[in-house]
Amino acid sequence: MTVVRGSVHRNSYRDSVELMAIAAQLEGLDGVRRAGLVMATPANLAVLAEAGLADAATGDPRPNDLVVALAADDDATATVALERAASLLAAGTGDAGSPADVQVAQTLGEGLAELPDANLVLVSTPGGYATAEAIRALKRGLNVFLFSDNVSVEDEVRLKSMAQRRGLLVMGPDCGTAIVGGVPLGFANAVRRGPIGLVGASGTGIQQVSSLIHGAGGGVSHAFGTGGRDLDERVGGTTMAAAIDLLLADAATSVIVLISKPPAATVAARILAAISRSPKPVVVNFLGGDAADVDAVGAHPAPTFEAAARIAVALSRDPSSALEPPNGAWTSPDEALLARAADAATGLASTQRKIQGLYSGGSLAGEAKVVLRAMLGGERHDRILDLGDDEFTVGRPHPMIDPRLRNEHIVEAASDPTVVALLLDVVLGYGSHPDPASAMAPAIEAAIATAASAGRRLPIVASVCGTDLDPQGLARQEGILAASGAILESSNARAAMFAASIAGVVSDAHTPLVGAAD
Amino acid sequence: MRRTVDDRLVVVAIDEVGGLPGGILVRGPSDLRTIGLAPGMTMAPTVGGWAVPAVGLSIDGGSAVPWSPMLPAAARRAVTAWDPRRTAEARSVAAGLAHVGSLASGRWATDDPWSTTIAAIVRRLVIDLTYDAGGAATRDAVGMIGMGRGLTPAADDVLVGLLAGLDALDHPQRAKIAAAVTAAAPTRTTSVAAATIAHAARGAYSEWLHDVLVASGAPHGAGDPLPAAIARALSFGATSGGDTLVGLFAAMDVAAARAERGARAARGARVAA
Repeated sequence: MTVVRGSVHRNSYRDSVELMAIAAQLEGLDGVRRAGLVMATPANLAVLAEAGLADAATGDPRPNDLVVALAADDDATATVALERAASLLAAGTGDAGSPADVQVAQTLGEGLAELPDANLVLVSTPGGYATAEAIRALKRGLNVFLFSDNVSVEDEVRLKSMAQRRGLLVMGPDCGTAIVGGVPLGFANAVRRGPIGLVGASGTGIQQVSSLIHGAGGGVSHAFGTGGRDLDERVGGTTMAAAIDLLLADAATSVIVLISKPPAATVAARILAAISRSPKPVVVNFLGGDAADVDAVGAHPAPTFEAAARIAVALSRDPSSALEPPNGAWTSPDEALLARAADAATGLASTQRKIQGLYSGGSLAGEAKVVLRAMLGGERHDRILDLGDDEFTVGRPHPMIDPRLRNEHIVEAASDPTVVALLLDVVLGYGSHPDPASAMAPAIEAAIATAASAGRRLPIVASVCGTDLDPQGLARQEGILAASGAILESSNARAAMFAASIAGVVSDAHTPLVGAAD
Repeated sequence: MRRTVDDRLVVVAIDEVGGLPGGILVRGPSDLRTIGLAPGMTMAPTVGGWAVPAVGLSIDGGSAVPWSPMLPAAARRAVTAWDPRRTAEARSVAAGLAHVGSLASGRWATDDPWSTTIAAIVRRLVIDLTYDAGGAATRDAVGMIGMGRGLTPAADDVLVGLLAGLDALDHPQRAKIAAAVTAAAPTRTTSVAAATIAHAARGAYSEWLHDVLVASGAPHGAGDPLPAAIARALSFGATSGGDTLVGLFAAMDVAAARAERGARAARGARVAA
């Protein structure tokens, strides 16, 4: 049964963003099906009526009154939700914490008038305008963090050539993550400062490595993003090469970590030549690339993000560290993980063969594929989706900001009898959802229940990319996910190993499926 | 300080907001609530300016500078640049900068009945106004008054932007729509929104809206003032600036569709001849 309840707040003025935020909070409460907060104009009352919420607007409200309307499972839930709405309205959530006297610069010139010593500009305009803004910045001697996407490769080459001539750095386009002198830009985690400098063509790759460095007690001097196309032959790795030079010259950096998919051959040669002369140890994570090439120039190959972080931390403490296990060890589970995975595999049906990955981080999805291939081989039907890819985000927010699309996929995957384990990432930090675990927990619980109702168990394996300093809090997020029934691993690579181990236990007793990982 | 007041409902804002119809701009803290001002307070004219008795505040009007909220000539000239490409550029900038969930972002939940309904009415209005269906356009415009979230419900802001765009276009149905929405608004929406609609109906708009209109006539490329003007518009209110732009973009759609319709008619006439 659904009950419709409402409250009227006389002559109450709230802005629309605040009302949307309160409605979203109410809809997040258990048992609340629908919530809307609008001025009680005739048109809005008509829309409420069409939405089945007419009974919410009692007491003859006038156009200057605010109506809180909601549909809930029962009266008690509705009462709690209305009380919550009243307290949120009284608290003025839309205004809370907003600095009253901050002036917002509208142009580069206005910004520089306020901060004449600034040496970096973050450009986040639509792609069609981003190049012009970046050129303006470079002409003024400013480094550029180019968050914008839809910048042509020709413009990227032009911008990076211009920056190179002027001794400046262009991070991007489509650069999601950087930490410059301790200042996070874009999607970044709150990490301790320290001697490890990162350069990455991968946003979530930088986030995972920097978070794991922090978790291992290390620290980050700078993390420079390059944009996903920098190591493409057409761009030539210009930004990665420039960032390596910056880190080599930086006294606060003693270890350098490079993160990328395997570059084009000519670009790889250029980058490896640059690091072959490095007096500082360099760790190279070219995800899925050839370790021998890296070994050959005296650098330290790292097949996973976790390996990159652990090797870098060890080198930062002792440059002669020999923390390099035999080839393949970074993608092999330890005994403890294997034992827990065997336990998690108990009772799984013989039809359950396929690992389903539902990722918000593209590079984390890539890392999972590398681990699964290393452990299980490529001839499988595993399906690792990057839900942050353009294919899924046209017209909707990125899953790191809004988990609703992924939640739908999680519940849907639970109905598939061939899924042996669900593999998830949860990315914390600045820019991400304020409480992703709470937003995902109901979907995880629903997925487990859906599988159970069909007589199956569904192991859901997750890792949280984040730190104790992040606004969302690593421990709190892990606790919420664990309470919802997810199996938590300390890194994405370990989560992938765990899922692969479960699949391995199940397939040991059956003929392997044939197909290609996608 | 600028003095622009000639109406019963007065808006007091800081100078950086720019000219507003029925507005008094003052130099003060960004958030005037910190000095006790609040929506709904009564203001009284004094010999040298205005007073807000509830908080014992006096506003000195001695050095006030007048500003006209009526459209400048450059805004009317801008319409010659309104084609589908320019409109798409403007929409793209706004969508990239607007709050997700707002009309201007183009991205809202599929079960959001307000945004879905308003967007559908706006699409109908573009067709009505392209084909000079004044009766249908007036019914749609009046029907959307008061719809949506916010102190000025989103549809009311859309109407303001639409009226501004139709004003610049000198659209033949504008006067009819303006008269109808002015008459209907007082009983259909909030007091603040009704006043804003009344201002727009008589051709009075905010300075930031003037700026967007003027910038819409500039060529795309390096130095294009449109992105900055749109960014400034989006900073007005929570979503009011963006909602207003949605109405303006609808008028730009109307301009392009009428031009295309005219070109088709001309081609038809040549063929017939």
